[in-house]
Amino acid sequence: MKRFVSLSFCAAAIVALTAAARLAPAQGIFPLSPPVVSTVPANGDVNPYGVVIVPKTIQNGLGLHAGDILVSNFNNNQNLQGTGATIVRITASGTVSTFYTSTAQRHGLTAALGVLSNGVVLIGNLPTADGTSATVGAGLLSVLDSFGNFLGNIGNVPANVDGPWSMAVDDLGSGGSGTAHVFLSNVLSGVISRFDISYSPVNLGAAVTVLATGFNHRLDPAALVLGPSGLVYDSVHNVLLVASSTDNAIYQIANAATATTTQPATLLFADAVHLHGPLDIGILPNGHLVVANSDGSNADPNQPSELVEFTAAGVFVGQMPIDPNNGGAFGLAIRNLGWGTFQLAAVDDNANTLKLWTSVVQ
Amino acid sequence: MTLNRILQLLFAASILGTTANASVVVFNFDRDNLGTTTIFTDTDPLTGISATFSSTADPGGFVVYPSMFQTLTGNVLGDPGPAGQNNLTLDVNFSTELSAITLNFATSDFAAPSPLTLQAYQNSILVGSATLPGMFLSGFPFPEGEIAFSGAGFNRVAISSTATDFAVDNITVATAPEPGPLSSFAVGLICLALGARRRKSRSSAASNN
Repeated sequence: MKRFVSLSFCAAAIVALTAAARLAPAQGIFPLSPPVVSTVPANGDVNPYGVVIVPKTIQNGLGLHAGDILVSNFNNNQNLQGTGATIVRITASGTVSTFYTSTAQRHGLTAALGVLSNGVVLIGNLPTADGTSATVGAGLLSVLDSFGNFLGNIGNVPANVDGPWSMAVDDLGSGGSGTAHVFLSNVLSGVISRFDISYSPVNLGAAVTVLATGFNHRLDPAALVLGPSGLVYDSVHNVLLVASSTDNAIYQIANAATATTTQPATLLFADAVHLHGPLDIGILPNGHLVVANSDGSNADPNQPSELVEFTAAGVFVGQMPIDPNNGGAFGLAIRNLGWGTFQLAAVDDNANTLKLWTSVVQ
Repeated sequence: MTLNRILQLLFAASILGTTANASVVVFNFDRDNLGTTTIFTDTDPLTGISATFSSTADPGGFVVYPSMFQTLTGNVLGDPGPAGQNNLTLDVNFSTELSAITLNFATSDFAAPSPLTLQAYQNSILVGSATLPGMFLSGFPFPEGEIAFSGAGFNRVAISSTATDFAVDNITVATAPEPGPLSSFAVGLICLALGARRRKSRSSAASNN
């Protein structure tokens, strides 16, 4: 197998890269040329959705290691939506293996995927019986250990778990113990939930707050579902950003980690030119946003599968197609390596691959 | 290390009392190998004074790397190191008591510069602190600044910032002054005066009896 990329890095090289790039004329991050790895496991699942990079704060001696990448598959080997059962693990050395295989009621693994510092993996699913929106179920939010063993569920269906579609994790812990705010978008109800989690190496407890309601959402014969999708938490401003694949807009929720009651979601920006069913969103070290367009709504054949960079205020900076055809972009994850250097991991649904870049913001 | 900085520290030491036997030492990481990570100790070859650098994310919280800054030169010490953790505090333990410290720093800001805070301790007791944001310098990507503290004796500093990461260089310290010839002479005079006064009071008491 082609060696993927070494996620370990030399600080000196990164700093040199940072210095050289930062002194160049100001511009966006695109285009980038990434290494690529297949996300198809042994059972043939396809349509990778969720992406998460295991944090550096993870406890030592677990099944997962810092820098590993997990990818969840939404479709089975017949390419039926909502029937994928696997999470694939890609190690820093590029080794691909099946991390988790779900049972029937937990099929249709989505971009609601996160890892805590004690190695616990949270994964949401949105199952269908036949791959169509007519048979969509509410799904669950499952808890796995760091070896991919199923431990149980958290949340209540449908009050705060109803089509878990994407996730953002604000983990305040390190080395096995701590607290975390886990934000969950529910595409079947238009609700954003927050799970306040306390965890140790052997325990996990969660309290749930309905953080926001009223996001537009609907079933769709092609995209399956549209609604509140990608989430990213801005810890500097205590704001949660929500990408809406229905509205082609980015919303913001203030006091996201601290509010004890439901908060209003206000429009940060809408962009019918550059947003095409935005499914996932991340924050670069300089505060810019990267949005993955699913093309599930407002599709433009001339702008297929774009990863789009905006300023923090929503001004378009640049974009790059992750696939030459529509419908390829979905989950992404960004890891800040320091001094403007970052890793960006993003899936290509069409090619069933993960692409990984290491670059530096301008 | 500049002559100006040495003079500044000597002045700081002088206004605290005597300058006798005070030493000025610079820790600039230029003799450390690139990639050296906390915990590690640097020792000044002339004075034998050492500084031990550490963080809560060790091993590998901070790392020595080449400067990409203007006022931080040669090698610098910054986070994130191989441990990959941000928002760390850098602890520096010195082998002797100090009276003053100054250092250059940079913070990983893209907009408003974040303040850097330096807290000075005598063992575990906080004796003072200083806080200062850097500023963007033309042609360089990150804000830089110089922060100083002098006053009560201290043997440890904790350096932190609200920025995600920061780097330091040219850590220049002045040791706490020891009694020199002038101060020893003054102490001697005081002792002689106290002795004379005691003899005088004894003889006065004897005559009264």
